[in-house]
This record gives sequence, structure tokens and C-alpha cells, in this order.
Amino acid sequence: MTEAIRWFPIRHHGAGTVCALRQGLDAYDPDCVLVEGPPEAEPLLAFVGRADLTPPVALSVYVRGEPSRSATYPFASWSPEWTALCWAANSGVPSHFMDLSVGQRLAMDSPQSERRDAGLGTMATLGGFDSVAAWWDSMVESHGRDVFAAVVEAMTAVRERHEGRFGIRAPDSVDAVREAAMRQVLRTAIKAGNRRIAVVCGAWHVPALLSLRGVGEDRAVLRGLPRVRVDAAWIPWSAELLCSTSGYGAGVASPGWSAVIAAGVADREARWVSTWASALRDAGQQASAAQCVDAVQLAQHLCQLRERSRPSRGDLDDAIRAIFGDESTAVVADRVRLGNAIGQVPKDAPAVPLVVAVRAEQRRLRLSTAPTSKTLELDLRQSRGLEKSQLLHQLAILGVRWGKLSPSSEGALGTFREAWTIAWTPSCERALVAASPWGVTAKEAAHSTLVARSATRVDLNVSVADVQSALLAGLAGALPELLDALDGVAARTADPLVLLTASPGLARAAVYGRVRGTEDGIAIIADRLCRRGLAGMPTTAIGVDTDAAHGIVAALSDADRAVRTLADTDLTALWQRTLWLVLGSRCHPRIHGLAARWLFDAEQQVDVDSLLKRALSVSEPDEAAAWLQGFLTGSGYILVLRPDIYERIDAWLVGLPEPAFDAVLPALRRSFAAFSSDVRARLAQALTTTSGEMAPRVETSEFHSQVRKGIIDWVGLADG
Amino acid sequence: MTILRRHAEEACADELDQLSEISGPRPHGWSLTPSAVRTFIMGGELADGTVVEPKYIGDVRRVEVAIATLATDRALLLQGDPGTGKSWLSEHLAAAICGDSTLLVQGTAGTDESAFLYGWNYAKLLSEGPSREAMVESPILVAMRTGGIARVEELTRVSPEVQDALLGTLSEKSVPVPELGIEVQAQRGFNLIATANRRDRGINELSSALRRRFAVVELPSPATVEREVEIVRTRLLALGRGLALPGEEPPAQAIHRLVTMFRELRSGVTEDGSLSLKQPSGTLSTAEAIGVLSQGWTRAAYYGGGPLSAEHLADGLLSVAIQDERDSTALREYVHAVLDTRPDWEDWARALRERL
Repeated sequence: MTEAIRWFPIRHHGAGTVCALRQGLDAYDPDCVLVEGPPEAEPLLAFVGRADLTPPVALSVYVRGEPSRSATYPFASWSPEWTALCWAANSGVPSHFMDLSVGQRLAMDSPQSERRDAGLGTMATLGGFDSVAAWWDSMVESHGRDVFAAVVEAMTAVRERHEGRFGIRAPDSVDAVREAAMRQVLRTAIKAGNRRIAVVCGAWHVPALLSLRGVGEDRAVLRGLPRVRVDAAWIPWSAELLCSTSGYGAGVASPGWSAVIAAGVADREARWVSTWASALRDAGQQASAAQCVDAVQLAQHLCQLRERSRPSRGDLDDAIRAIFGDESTAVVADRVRLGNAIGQVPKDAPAVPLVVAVRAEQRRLRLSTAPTSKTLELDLRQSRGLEKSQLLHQLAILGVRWGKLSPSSEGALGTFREAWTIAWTPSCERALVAASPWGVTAKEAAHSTLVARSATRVDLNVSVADVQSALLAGLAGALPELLDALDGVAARTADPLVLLTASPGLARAAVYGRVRGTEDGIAIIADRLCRRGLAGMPTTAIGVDTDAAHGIVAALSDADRAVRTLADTDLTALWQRTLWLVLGSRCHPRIHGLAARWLFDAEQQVDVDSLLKRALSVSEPDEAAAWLQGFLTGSGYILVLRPDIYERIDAWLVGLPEPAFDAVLPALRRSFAAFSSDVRARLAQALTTTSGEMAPRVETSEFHSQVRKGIIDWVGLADG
Repeated sequence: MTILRRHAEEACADELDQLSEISGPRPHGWSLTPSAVRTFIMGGELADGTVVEPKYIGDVRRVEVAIATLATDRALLLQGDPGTGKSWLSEHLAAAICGDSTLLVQGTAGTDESAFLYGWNYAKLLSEGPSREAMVESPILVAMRTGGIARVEELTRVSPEVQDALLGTLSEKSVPVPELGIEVQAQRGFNLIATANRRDRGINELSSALRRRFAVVELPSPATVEREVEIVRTRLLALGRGLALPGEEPPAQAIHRLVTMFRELRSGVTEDGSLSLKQPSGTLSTAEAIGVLSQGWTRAAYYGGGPLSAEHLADGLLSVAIQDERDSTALREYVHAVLDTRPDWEDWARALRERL
């Protein structure tokens, strides 16, 4: 019986095996290929070999109607499993998956058994390697084609020792049940009359499959296992998700390198260096063939020095950094490490869980999925409205541009009305499929996308926007992680302007969070941002030019909004102290005027009249105009309420010589244009009235009377 | 023994002797095997129990790249901020590989081509006409002729035209002397180590043609405060021995605190990552920390005042950190926001406040 079966023990994603596996299959020419994988997904094997199913892809097997319970089986172009499946498809040989059915496995609800790398780990350590992957690759190379027989032998020994010591093979352990199921599949394949069966499965399992005796025991183990109904789908995967850094336990350190070693053992150093070189050239850097040669040479010297037989990826990367330079290589490092593979799945294949879940959600909430635009008015006080809004926000986080929030309700945390325009275009469908690796429901996927993104943020404002979207999308569960990330970004941000600019958004989020009773942490961070920004403000505001002053005024206005939103007595006191410090420093006149105005509005004991007198007495009318621009920021009511101020400004303006007047006009005009029409009407009226306390006092010349007429025109009528 | 500072090959002659006995394949012209060079630089224990002192404290991978580069026909460029140990590493590499670290060209804005190639002894030139005897070889030419390691310090301070005089040396491995109708060809074993600094003022970037002839090893600032303290302590004690400073060794706490402050002001974040700080514009590298400490040690040793303390170091710290008025503000804020909140750092807070 044994001559009817050829074992191809592999490591999941062990790219080093791929060449040997392909050669082995060619030489053996099996009539049936069994691959470790989910039996329920077998119908989907029909798609393997088609041009529109390009790896990296994954098989997602999920509980029908409950897509959040699922198992995922990723395949890269260099996965041994994928190689075997493609070989079978191209040779017209039937292939089958061999494992316990996922429906039973999910129903068992037991935790994933410990990683089988434990056994391989022992071998790797004995061989003097620091990682299983490195040991595996080097072993596969040194054994050439006979590697599979050698691995079966080695694993048999390892498992005997391992099981003897840990008693792992309890009959009810997941591994034991799975292996019983695998043996059953194998028996079925033999019974079907296959004479040359190729078995491609994890090296760990092979020793347990060698003997097919004990049919009765296996049946007994499998009998009566609970089972849930499952569905399966191909989903597009990404190189990033194959990477061990993405949190995928069986992932590899560098998918890019895996692709290179899978392509052939012989000249992998040269191919890896040219992968780097072409990435560098794409990024507009120099990378000549001579440099590539030198890099390979340097790596060879390095591996001699490090007492290895062949340069590892580490040796090559060190050499490449030395030859091409740290900065240039840093730019493309991630691209090279990950490779640029993007998966694609056929349109006619069964839909992916996330798409199914979102469609179900859309039906439940009665949301239109027509490609034509439709407007939607949502009342967030009703649970229906809130759920709709959250779904739309969740999909927006996933990059699915289905709904567009009308500008009036954009970023309006805390309002209870939202107006959306929705249209389900084909690009929505594509984006949703692309987001499917992130989770099986919109909420889960949005949650993990936000959390994963938050770790890479460097811009404080973007981090704040993340927190806001989490609140809008009802992802309070993501807040602790997002706030941690935000806190980290904030700690690395030293610029007070950036800190203050980010604060109002966060303050709004804090108040919104408070209303919902979700989170107090936001308020603490918002408060800290304000305090740190304000502490740096007085020194930042000194000695800046007009452009920089513009930025500072914007940041101060943000701070003003944040302080008022947070409404904290302590913080308000600090805000006013900061303004007093600014007022006492030699800062730009516009900032000075703004500080004076805010202190006046806050009913602080600020002597506006003497400040105004001093500001208008400077020899440069530009500076006086800038001061006024700052002072008149916001509302013009101060001119209506305080005739003395109005008169002083009026007198100054009328007293200006012609060229100076022309110079200050634009700045003043900007200030007045921001006033409400009501205020402007009253000012215009005051200007035209010849009696009363607001009346002009002097009419000096023909020029000035024309000026006055001009002022009346643009003050009163500019609003059209 | 009145020499102020001995060359690496003399100071470490015993170690080099021991290491040269290790057998194994070595590149042409090398006096040690590549792995013995690594042991010499990174330290270790030999089979006979001899302990080799570490010369460079840092990432062994980068040192390995540097050694491997010198075995190829590419030149080595050590790049990094001031005080990251470039010159120190370059000197010890040359000493270990060819037993001679003195074939050195110090790059300055005034360095001309004759420093890289050859010049003339004009008295001889006038009396005898052009001859081999009248020609003055640069250290690089000597290294080529003898198959040794030449060193160029501060390559980026040299003007770009003069830098490019190295192109022929590095690619053709020969220097023609048209006046004599001869050329000097490099013997096997010849290579060149240059050091460069990219952050200082008054530096000239390498042309891309020259840059391509080097393998670049970036020497980073020490990653942790413990590692930096270790470097500072090692170098400081060596310096103290050289200067034969009387008095006690600087206390570990003084070194640790000074290094901590240097690191915090340099990176703009406190060591615990909780506060971001304004960075003063002065260069605050490990080399400056060593300078401040050795200056403070000298003061404590000769002008008394007990063991090295904040009082001896504060002036030094301020003189390197402060370049203009804004820096003083930054330091005042640092004292107020950070030092004042640390229990038993009062001595530093007081010493700095008195001087600010």
C-alpha cells in the first residue's frame, strides 16, 4: 500500500520547499493530489488555475449566518500548498483537501493547538539555527530532491520524543481528531482506485498518517462530533497580511524574500539584489549593475565572516545598505520586504463574508444599494438612524465611498442630524472586497483597520481624526488603542502650533464622548494637548513675521475653541494667563490685538483704551492695521458697544495720509468683511449720521471726505 | 613614555600579537583573519584565555559590514554624527588589518590634491629637475605602494574638486605621475577608510561618482543610555590615564546624569518618553559629553572641590548646548520642567539655574 502514496511534508509558507516540491510532483506524476486544507472549500478548487484568481488569496470558511466565526487559509504564490494545487490544476489531476471539516472544528470551539513548529524548533536548535525558517531552508537546500524522505524520517523521530515527553497525543486533542480525519480522506482516495497519491501536508502530521490501520478507532473519534454549517469563499489577500509583523502567527518575515527563494535556489542572491536595485530605480535612485555585483560580493564576504555557508537575507540586506546607502534603501525597504503582490479573486466565485455581512446589514436597515444618488436624512436620536449612520461611517473607514456626508454635517460631532448622499457604485464593491481581510463584519473590519492604521500615524491631526471617526462609527471599543496611539503621537509632537490646532477636534470628541458616557480618556488627552501647547505659546509668538503670525492666530483661535468646549475652570485660567503673557511680550501686533480682544471679551481687567492708543500710535501704519485686524477678529459688536473705541479708530483712520491709508485698507477690509451684516449696517449708519455720539468729529480735506464715502460703501454695502 | 597619545597599533600591540597567531584564510596583505579583526574591535576572549578589550561599543553587524568591505575592492566610508566613534573605529581597523594606522590624511577646507596624490620637494625639484626623489608621496600613495590601509579623516570637509581626486585612486587603483612618465599602482591589500560627517556646518556632500565607489557604514548614536554611559566611561578613563589626571575617577552617577541630560536635550524627549522638550541648537554628541566630563574632571582634580559634581560640569554643559538666546530659554524650560521634578537632582537644577 505504501508504494501508492508519496509524502511531501512541508512547512506552511516554507518557500524553500517549492522548487523541490514542483520537481518531486513532476517526477512522481501522481494521479491524485491531497493537500492539507478545509474540505468544505473543495468546490472552490475549481477556480485554481484561472487567470483571475491570483495569489495572495485566502480561503475564508465561515459559519453560515454568523460570519464572525471563521477560519482563514492564506495562500501566496510561493506557498507549497498553492504550488501543489496549481500543479494539479495544470496537469489535469484531481486535487482534494484533507483535514477535519471546518464545520466540526469551529463547532468544537477548542483553542488552536500549540504550534507544531515546536517539533521543528527542536531540530532547528540542534542544527544551530536561530529560526525554524532558516533551518528549514538550509536543510531543503542541502538535501536536494531527497529532502522529503529525510523530513519524514526526522519528523517521526521528533514526534516520538515529543509525544513521549508531553503526552500530546491525547485521543481528544484537536490534532488527534484532525489526523483521524486526514487518514479517512486518505482511505477514501485509495478506495477510489487512485494508485499514485501525492500527499502535501504539514511535516508534523506525516508520521501519524503513515499507518492506515485502525479504521474503527478513527470512525469512533469522528463519530458524533458537533458540526455547524459553513460557507467558503476566496478573498483577496495582501503581502502585508502574510507578514508575521501583521500578527499572522504562521506569517513569514519577508514575503518578498520568500518569493525570491521560491523561484529557485541557484542565484537567489543576485535576484534579491536586483529586486532591490529595480525598486531603487523606480524610486528615482541610482542603482547600477556594477553596484549589484559589488553588493553580492560584499554579502559573500560577510557570510564568510559570520561563518555561514551562504548569504542569508540579513547578510544581503546589510551589504545592500552599505552599497546603496541607508537613506535610499530605507525609502524602498518596506516595498522590497513585502513584495508588490496584490491578490485578485474571480467575480463569479461565491461572495466573501464581509460582503455578505454588509449586504445583510443594508437589507436590515433598508438602505438603498442602487448606483444612483439618493439623499438620506438621519436622526441620530433614533436607534435606526444611529445604526444607519454608524454603518455609513464604518464603510467610510474601510475606504468604501458609498455615502457622502453633506458639508453642513461634516465633522459635526455632537449634532443629532446627518445628511448623506448615497450611491453604491461598482468601486464600492471592489473596495469592500479589498477590505475583507480586515474582518468579517463592517464593524469588526473598521475596528481593526483603525487600530492598525493608528500605530503608523505621525500626524497629530490625523490621529485626532481617527478618534473622531471611531466615535462616529460607534467603535468605542477601539478607543483605548486609538488614544494610546494618539498619546504617543502627541508626546512626539513638540510644536505648540500643531498641538493647539489638534486640540479643538479632540475637545469636541471629548464632549461628544461625555454625552454618550463612553470615554473620559479623551478629555484628559485634550486637556494635556491644550496645556502643552499653551505652555509653549508665549515663546513661539515672539519675533515672528506676518506669515508665521497668521499660523499662530489660527492656532490660538483653535485653542480658544478647545478651551471653551472643554469648559474647565483650571484650563480657562491657564488660557487667560497665557493671553496675558502674550500681551506682555513683544509679539506680532496682530497676535497682540487678538490677545487684547479675547481678554476684553473674557471680562478681564484689560485697559483696551490705552492698548489701542499705543497700538495706533506706532509709526508703521501696517502694524497698527495688523493690530486692529487681530483686535477686530470675530465680531464687530465691540465697535457698536464701545463708542470710545469706535471713535479712536475712526479718528486714526481719517488722520492717515493717503499712501498709508491705501496700505492699511486691505487688512481693515478683511476684518470688516467678517462682521455680520447686522453689525455692518449699524456701522454704516453710524458713519453716515452727522449727529449723535458716534458722529465723525473731523472732516479735514477733500481726500478724506472721499475716503469716508468709500468706507461707507464697503462697510455697509459690501455684503450685497 | 612621554607621548601624549599612542597609535592604536602601539597601544594594543600585545592584543594584536596574540590575535595574529590565529590561523585561517586571510585576504591578501592582511595581518589578521577577518574574524580576528572583529574580535579585536568588539572584544572577546581568546582560546588561551587572553581577554581582548572592546574598542567599539555598538552594533556588531555594522562592524562586520565594515570589515567585509575592506576585504573587497570597495573603499569604506564611515558616516555618522560627531562622537559616534568614526575616527576611533577607522584607526583601529587600520591597525588591525595592516598594523599601521598612520597613513592618514586629515581633511580640511584647505586640503589640496597633493595631500591625496603627490607633491614636490621644491628645493630638490629646482636643483635636480623632476625625479622620483623630488616627488613627495601622499600617505595614500604610500598605502598603495605598500598594500596598506590609507585613512582620510573628515572627507566631507574637503572641497568637492579635491574630493574627486580620489576617483582614479579608487577605481583604477593607480595614480599616474605624468611629470616622471610613470604611474604608481596599488599593491594587493590596499584599501581606504574615509570618515565623514553630514550634520556639521561647512561640509561638502560627496559627488555621486565618488559616493558609488564607497560602501557606506552608518554609525548611529548609542541606542540606550546604558550603552552611551559605557562608551563615555571607557573613553574617559582612557583619556584620564593619558593625561595622568590626579584624584579619583569620576563617580558613575555624575557620568550617568550628564549623559542622560545630553540624550534628552539631543532627542527632544525625556528618557521615559513622557515629555517633549525644546532642543538647543548646540551639538550634543557623545564626543561633547566626553569633552565636558574630561574638562570637569581636570577642574575637580586641579582646583579641588572634592569629587566631580554638577558644579564642575554645569559650565561645560551650557557652553556646548547654548548658541543663542533661544537655547537659554530651552535650557531654563528643561531645568524647570524636568530637573525640578526629579528628586535628588537638586544639585544639577541649582548649578544650572545659577548660571542661566
